[in-house]
Amino acid sequence: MDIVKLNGVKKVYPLGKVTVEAIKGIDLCIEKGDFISIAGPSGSGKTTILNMIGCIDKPTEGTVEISERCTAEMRDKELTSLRHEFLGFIFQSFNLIPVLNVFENIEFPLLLGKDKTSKKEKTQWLEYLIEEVGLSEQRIQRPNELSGGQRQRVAIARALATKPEIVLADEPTANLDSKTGEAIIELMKKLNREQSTTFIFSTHDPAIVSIADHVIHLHDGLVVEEQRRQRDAGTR
Amino acid sequence: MPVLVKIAIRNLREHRSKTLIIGIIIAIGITVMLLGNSLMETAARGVQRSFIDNYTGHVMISAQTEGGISLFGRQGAQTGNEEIPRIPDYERVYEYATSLPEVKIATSQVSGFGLFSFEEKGNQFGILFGIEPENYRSMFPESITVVEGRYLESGEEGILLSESKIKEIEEDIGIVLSPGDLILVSGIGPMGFRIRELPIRGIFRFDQEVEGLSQINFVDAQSLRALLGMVVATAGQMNLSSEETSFLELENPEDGLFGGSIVELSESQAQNVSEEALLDILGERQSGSYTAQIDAGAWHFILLKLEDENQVDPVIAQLNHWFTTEGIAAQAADWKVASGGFGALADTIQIVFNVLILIIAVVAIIIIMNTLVISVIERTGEIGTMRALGAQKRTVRRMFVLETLSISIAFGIIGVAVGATTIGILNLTGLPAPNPFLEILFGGKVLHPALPLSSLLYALGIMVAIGLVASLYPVAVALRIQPVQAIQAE
Repeated sequence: MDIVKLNGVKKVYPLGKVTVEAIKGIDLCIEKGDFISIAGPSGSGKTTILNMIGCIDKPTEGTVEISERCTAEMRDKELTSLRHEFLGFIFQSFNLIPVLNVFENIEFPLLLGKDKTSKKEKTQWLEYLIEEVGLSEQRIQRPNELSGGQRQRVAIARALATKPEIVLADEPTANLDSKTGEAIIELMKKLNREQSTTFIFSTHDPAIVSIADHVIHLHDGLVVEEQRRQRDAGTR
Repeated sequence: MPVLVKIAIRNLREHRSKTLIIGIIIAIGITVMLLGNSLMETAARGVQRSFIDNYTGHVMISAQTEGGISLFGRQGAQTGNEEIPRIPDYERVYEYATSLPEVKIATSQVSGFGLFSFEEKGNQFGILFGIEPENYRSMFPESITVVEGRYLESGEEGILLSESKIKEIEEDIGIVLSPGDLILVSGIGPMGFRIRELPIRGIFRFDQEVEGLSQINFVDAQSLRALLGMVVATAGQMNLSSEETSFLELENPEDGLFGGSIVELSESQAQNVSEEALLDILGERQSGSYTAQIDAGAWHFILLKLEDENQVDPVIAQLNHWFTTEGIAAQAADWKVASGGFGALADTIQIVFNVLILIIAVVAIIIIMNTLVISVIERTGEIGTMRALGAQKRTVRRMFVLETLSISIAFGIIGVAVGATTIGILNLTGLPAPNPFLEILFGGKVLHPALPLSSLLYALGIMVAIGLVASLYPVAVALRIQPVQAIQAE
């Protein structure tokens, strides 16, 4: 089952008096449970593709479907609900809320919607995530008291907090040391298997690319290569 | 949502300088508002009390006039050129007004201006309230204190002079007047000057001394009617003495009054016609010969005190409706109208104060708005992230409103504390009125400002409103932030 579908997607940005065509027409299908990497050099359109799948940007042309729901016709309120229900985000520059501590940052998405799970279950889940990303000792520290790597681990845990169907990660290991990066990838892969969470990454990191089930290579706003591997083939 | 409160409060703590700028403005604003409002309200109550209890009652009935009318005359309090019309159909009007269940007590009054003449030594101006003494005293029992002599008695002619008028006469004219003395009073009426000699029955002072009203003197209504020439339509026959008849035979009697001495004109009559006699003829200094012509039923005003102050407007409406229905050219108005310019002063100051509040509010709104907009711009990434994570626009709005409310309430309480303490101190020490203008405004020589709950709530309400209005634009800016800006932000 395709959880994400891009049909003839184009994205044009105005840049002063000229326009820049970031995406020149992409058709793409991502299956539920995919562990997919969008690879390509800088400026190839990786982040733009992620933004459109994440419903935080709209295509100039073409359609994006998330879980068989076309986002083009959706209003802001519906798109926000869709993001909250279906999507988790890991940003390149962490984007943590500076006045909240580690635990509160991870908890924050859970407080935005009407979640039926009990407080105890929620706390257990959050504690599990904190432990998995290795921040048990930093749980009451503020982002400005953490290293770049630790901040990104908070961001990863936060993206997983609502148990979303899709996690979008823009260069998730870019600011982590290789050991932590590998541990995080293992955690994601584990969640990918256990929760059937679809992970979509933009990355330069060959480690992630190598463990992805599905790799899309972009160049100048176009898909130049698409690789599909046997699921779990990259698990170490 | 508790997390939003947490974020709001922590953000305010994180951005201390901005919080302090906004907070200090709010605290100062609320202190100024609280103080001003308290002073205004206390003063307004003081003015209202001093007028209602001492001179005007709650409702004043007068004849219908074009332009303003007050107890001091037409066209404001300072001119005596316009004749005050008598209340038409007085008996019926009085009967109807006093039959209303809301009316506790009523009294009638004649008003006019008089000159106290001291022949060649000079004149002194005074406001004359013609009253029916017993009735007037029942209406305003604590209005005046007789410091020398006695109060007027019903049916007798005489004048009560104010203590300050006695002092003025002593200082300016050099004559010391005492109860029992006679004083020459000139009244201005439609038929010109009328002069009367009245016995001073007593000297009084207002218990609440207000400089502007110290010109008021009380005289028996009948004497004032005579002074104002309030006569019945048909004049009675006058029997002139031989002296008066001989005077009328003079070629130019006015010359005797205003030009030179009568003696120069007619030596033969010089022995018989003195200046005194002349004044008797022109001015009717003695009441006897003219009494028959004075309209004893003529009154300028009926003043009413009500059982309940809140009934003023309905009673006025009822009276005016009745006047219209009955075709009586009379009108009813409240104490502010009755007091002329003095009562309206409190309103004017209130308006000035409100304008001041408006200016403070606008300045506060602009400064708070600017500071909040900067804060929003600085937090673009944070807001974008929240939106990307699934925060609806209403969540972002709530977050900023909570921040504004937190700061408004926290610093509002500081402002209230400072304001209330200042008011408390002023209440204990009293705020002296340094000039007559402020005496009128304060309703006395010293103001003891109180802090009514309404003022407190008003000030807090205004500051919260300012906070909310000031956050409208910054919130609108925040709501325009797109989730994609979370990616773009550093």
